[in-house]
Amino acid sequence: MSARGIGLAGFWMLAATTALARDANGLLDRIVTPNSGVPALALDGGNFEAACRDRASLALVSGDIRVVLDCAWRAEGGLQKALCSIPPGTEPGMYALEGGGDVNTRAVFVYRSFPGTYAVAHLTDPHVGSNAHTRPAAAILGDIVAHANASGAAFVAVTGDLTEHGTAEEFKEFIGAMEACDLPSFVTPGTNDRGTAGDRVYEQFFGPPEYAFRFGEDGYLAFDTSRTAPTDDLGPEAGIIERLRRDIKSARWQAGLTYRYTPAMGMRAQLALFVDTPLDFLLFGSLHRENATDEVIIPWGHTLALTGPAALDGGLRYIDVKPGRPFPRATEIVAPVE
Amino acid sequence: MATKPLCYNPPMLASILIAALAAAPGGQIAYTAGLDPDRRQVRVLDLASGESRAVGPGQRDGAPRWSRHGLWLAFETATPGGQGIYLVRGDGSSGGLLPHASPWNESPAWSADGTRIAYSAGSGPGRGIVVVDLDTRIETRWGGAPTEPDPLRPTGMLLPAWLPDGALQRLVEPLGMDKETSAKLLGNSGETKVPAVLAIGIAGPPGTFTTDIHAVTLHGALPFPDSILPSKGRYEEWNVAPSPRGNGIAFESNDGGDRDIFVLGPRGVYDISNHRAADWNPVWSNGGSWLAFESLRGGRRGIYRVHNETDRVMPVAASGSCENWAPSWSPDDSWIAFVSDRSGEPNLYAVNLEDGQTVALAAQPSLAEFAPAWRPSGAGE
Repeated sequence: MSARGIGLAGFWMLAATTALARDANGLLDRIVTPNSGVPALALDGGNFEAACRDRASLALVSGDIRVVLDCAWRAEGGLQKALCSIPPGTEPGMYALEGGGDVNTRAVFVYRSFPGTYAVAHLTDPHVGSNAHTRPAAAILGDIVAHANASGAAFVAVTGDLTEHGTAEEFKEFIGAMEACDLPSFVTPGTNDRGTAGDRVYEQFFGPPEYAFRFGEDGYLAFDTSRTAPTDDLGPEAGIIERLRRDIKSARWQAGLTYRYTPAMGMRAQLALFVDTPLDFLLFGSLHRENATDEVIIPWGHTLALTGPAALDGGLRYIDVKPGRPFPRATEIVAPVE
Repeated sequence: MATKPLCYNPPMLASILIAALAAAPGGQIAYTAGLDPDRRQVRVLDLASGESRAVGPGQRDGAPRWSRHGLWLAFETATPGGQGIYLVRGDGSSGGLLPHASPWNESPAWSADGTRIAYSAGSGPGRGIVVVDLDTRIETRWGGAPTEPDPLRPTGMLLPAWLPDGALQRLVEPLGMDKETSAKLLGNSGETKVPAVLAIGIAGPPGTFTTDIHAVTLHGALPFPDSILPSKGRYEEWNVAPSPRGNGIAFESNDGGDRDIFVLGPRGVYDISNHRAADWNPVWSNGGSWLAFESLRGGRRGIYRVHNETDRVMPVAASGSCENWAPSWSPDDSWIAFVSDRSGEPNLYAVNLEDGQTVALAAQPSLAEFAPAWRPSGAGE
């Protein structure tokens, strides 16, 4: 089934059971992942992994539909992790994940099959909370989300600077704006999202910034460039990136998502991502403009680096992913800013 | 020797293990603590008392390195305009930043006699190896000056590691240096033991960067030739580690595809870790017989050791459900301290290599702990 077909079926429009996801402040509660910024994509009859603070009976919920999941639990890294089996025949669409009184909206997307050719809506730097323009940044983001919904794209990648100051209020506003998104949306933090260093506000809303997912034949690896620099070989990040890189090694296209590339990022991460087995392409943010095709962004290997305009300025860019090569379309300005 | 799976020990066994640990020579471990990288601080854990003392300024402190005799610690720390090398006695009684010409300085490495520290200084293309004399506190830039434009000259030099005295001269033949080439490194002073470090040089125009091991002296810097690697081609080396006993030089390379640990030793150059999963961060035992390293071969980041002569690989701290990293040998090579996130946060642990039993060392389990460095046992400098 194509992404457009799913859109026409209108199944994505089914609302979750509750508008208020997470806890009353929008923070992740019992269920850490998947969530609305790090959703799970799975076939009906397939499975996905959930990370929770406590074990609970988990279910997929969409409107009147409730699918109780069969979960195999294990303790890992201070969390309870569940391999959740989706019953065959589960209707494709967007689901909330519910368990133990907690609900993560837009957390699980069920497919009958994944298309081999599809588009990614690359939306970056929305800077929710910014006063750069007359219109609020969240309203501009809302227009862009509506454009992505209508585009038939397979999913949205938001590569950093989700917020202007990294405050809990701004993250909550960002999540609120993204609730209108019918597509899976994957986020990574940017420098603005880090607010006061070390406060982990981003993690409280989306969980660990390093994760990998597959969309059909293709693999994507999200990471936080800034966490690779001071902690290279010191903290766990370098090892996690190595592991995630290996996890998507067999994918047709192997892509990265982050807010920017810098030669100053940790060498261990650079070796894993761009040297030993270079990613095919990297979607990144920060530049607030489309990069030229001959612009050398990554000085190693052959990773194609792609970025686009800031969502704050009303733009986004679609990347066509298909056999042969990923093809970036021209920037589109789709939302007025004044 | 049996290696048992990692586990939490019952309290009585733990107390026995801790007593054995405290009795090990050099019963202190330096490490960094703190979840917030900007406030990460070097501390020293006393294994006998279990007490931990802050010795660093707590400004993004980096991995601590002991001087050979365990009297001083060196590590990088944030400064108002960049990053400097901080020197402090292990008991925290005196310390301070070294004076630097460059605002950015990282990766300090002690000379064997404890009188000098080499580090990487500068940023961008100007990053090179600087050596400070600790008596005079005078910095000297090593590597010589470029005499003519050379596209292969490294645009940056990183991660210095001291060669044992006289080791450079022994490398002249294996590295295929002719008289003229060796003179660039050894100078014309007639010294028989020219001090030298190995470092990683980043070379090439943008888009085609590569990394190579370089031998660096006051007089010059020369890359190890590609021919020392088992396969033809261009590969990226990293993390070079000369054995403290002078019986080999370990390094990482992606020769063969995945990252592996190679050793340049009496047998030539060989892939000592040889596995399809990535292996990295070689750390020699003090006796020079073993290399500890990190690997993904168990599915998660784990610690293994390999014997330098038999190539026998043994797991040290590996688990399918958590990450284990940053090995540091005890002075008598009977223990390895490391970091594990098995409890959710990164904390310090140590494993006894005789029986495989593991003991938690966390002084403050709620604080993230990183980069353990076991204090050498030796006379004062």
